[in-house]
Amino acid sequence: MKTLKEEAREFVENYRRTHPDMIDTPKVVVPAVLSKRSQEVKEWLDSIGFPSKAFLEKLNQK
Amino acid sequence: MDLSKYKLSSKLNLTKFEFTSEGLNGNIEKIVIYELVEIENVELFNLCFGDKNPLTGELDDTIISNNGDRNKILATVALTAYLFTDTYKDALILMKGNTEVRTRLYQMAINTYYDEIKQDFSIFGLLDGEPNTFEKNVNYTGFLIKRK
Repeated sequence: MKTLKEEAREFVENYRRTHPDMIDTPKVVVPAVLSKRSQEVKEWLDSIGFPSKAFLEKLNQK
Repeated sequence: MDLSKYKLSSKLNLTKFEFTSEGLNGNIEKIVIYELVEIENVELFNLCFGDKNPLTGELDDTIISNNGDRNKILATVALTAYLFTDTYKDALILMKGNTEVRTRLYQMAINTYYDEIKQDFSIFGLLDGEPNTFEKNVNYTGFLIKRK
């Protein structure tokens, strides 16, 4: 029985075999036009002041 | 846990995934996109999930397809989070539905796989906009996960 992690690893290895031009960590850019939902999410996150300093500290401890 | 999943295809360097839901209402194309959102100090990706509009090919997250295969869909979406973060290891993923029902679906996915994903991800639940360490029996307004 495979774990999600093992299943994902196999998929990614196969994907990379069939996409040999893909670099290890491709650069992702913010789309010129965000989807409506992501735009709503961004506005919501901005409105609540995300991320808080406390959360960034928590995140960096993990 | 080994729930059955749909066969995925991926595009755009493992940031977009597609699969076909097979159920009561026939075959329905689904899309999962991890979309980078510009937020200061974090590399935040919004998880966008929904049906593929047959006319435009675009993702539509307003359709409720009720195809009777919820668990298989949730398992497939959970797998995409592993696929995505296997490459984008520093990504912080936001899972927030456009409705409370869809947010509950994300919570069900996390609950179903909790024992497994807590080993691989830091999981936070949003309460009043502030992320808290995830607990199973709390209803959140959204979720953040980050690969350990």
